[in-house]
Amino acid sequence: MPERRLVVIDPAGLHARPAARFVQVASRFTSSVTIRLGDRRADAKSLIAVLGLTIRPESEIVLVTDGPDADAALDALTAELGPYLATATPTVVAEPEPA
Amino acid sequence: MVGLVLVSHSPTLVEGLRDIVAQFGGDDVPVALAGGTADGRLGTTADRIVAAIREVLGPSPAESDGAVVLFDFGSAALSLEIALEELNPVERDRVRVPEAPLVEGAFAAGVQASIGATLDEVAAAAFAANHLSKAIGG
Repeated sequence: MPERRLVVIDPAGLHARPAARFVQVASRFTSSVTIRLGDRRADAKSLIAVLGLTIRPESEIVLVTDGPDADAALDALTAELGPYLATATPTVVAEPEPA
Repeated sequence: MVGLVLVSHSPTLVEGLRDIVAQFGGDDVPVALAGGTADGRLGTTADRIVAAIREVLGPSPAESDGAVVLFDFGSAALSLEIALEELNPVERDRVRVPEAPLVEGAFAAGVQASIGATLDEVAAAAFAANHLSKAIGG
């Protein structure tokens, strides 16, 4: 199952407007789309479920898609939610300083 | 697409709510309003509700995707009951009245309608809006 880690960059968090957009974009795909926030998860095709997560600014969320158009769904969500979400920077393990 | 009928004592309240549905759900979601009385007072009338429902159902109710009715409180419920009795069986079959808050219900139902959901799915989204938390900082 493809997944993508994203950070909420909107200072208001994932509030009503982006949540509505989320549901509308996710619903264009047959794949299931799940938002994970810590150990909680929500069906991204349900507005009430998405709002119920109360996703705050700077939260890191994981989008997980499953189905025949899973990759396309991830790409579309990442593109269309661009103003609200940014790709999470992978944690970089510091390289030892050269001697 | 399923449409919404917004019923309130105040015409300006439902006008504002229509703007919210248009912005969050999109301009495609049909919305009809039944706010205030014919003589410009705050209140609700069955006639206006019937007209709003018929506006959403269109000329061929049997082929309509249906209408979800949301209302504010008090006598709106009574006016709505009278309105529903005036509908013919074909029209009544295409109308749902979920137990739902007016504002959050319209927001949730509007978004649900915009993705092409069925009449029962849109009504369920409005009902689910009962569980939207208002908690601040929680």
